[in-house]
Amino acid sequence: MAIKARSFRDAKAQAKSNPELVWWVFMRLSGMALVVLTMFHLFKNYIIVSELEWDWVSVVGKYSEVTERLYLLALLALGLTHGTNGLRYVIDDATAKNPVARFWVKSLAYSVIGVILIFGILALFVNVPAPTPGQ
Amino acid sequence: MYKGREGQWAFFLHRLSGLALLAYLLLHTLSIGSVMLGEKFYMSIHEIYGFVLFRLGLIGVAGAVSYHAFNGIRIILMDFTDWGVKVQRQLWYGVLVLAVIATGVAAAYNLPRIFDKDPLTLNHSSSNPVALAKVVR
Repeated sequence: MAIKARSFRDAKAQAKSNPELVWWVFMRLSGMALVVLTMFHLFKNYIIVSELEWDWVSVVGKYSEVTERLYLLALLALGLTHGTNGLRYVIDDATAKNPVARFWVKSLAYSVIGVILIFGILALFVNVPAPTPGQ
Repeated sequence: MYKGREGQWAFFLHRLSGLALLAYLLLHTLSIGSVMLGEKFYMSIHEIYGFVLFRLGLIGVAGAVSYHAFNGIRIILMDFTDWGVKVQRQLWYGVLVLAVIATGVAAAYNLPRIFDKDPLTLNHSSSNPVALAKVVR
């Protein structure tokens, strides 16, 4: 079960296991990083640039920069890990009385998210052919 | 632990926005990641997202991001300061104000764009040299 503490000391006292305390800390640290990474990402790629700007040629151009790929890798990995652990808290609460359902819902969720994570990482690091000139 | 109505609303909205953002991130990874499957495949998805409802939905994404981010900071303040819990209700109203402002900024930039106006001057984009240059390209 998720820790429902209002201070680190309480969290330590409530944690049923060491990993659970590590997740509690992770959610706060990754959360702070994600606030900065996500806000900047939204500002740079959405607020000041039209969402329609991101056609295939533009995305390939963006991915040609190594720093962009590393930035997006950090966003993807941190965001999906933070989000998946949040989902785990929700599933734990929703299936508190049904361990069988909990097992299957978690198995399905983790499988889907795992596949999409691998897809996203591949997309960042597979080399896409350069856009044809004049297109 | 979540004493009072505001705290419960804060908790509920944090979960709701978190789930929505996870769902969005998964779809976003699939659609943008499909860039590696070639131009045709990518553009067929990109064109669907050009539909006006999806573009308006992005304002909702900005809203969910800003609420979840600011409320997350509120949670961290409650956890790691000795004054955070005492003023959690006031902090939550601050979170709401900041989230509304941030969503308003996103809407202020996005809505004119959807209706083909320049976001800064609200002039029609055909009279905006930057937008014009993009059309020409």
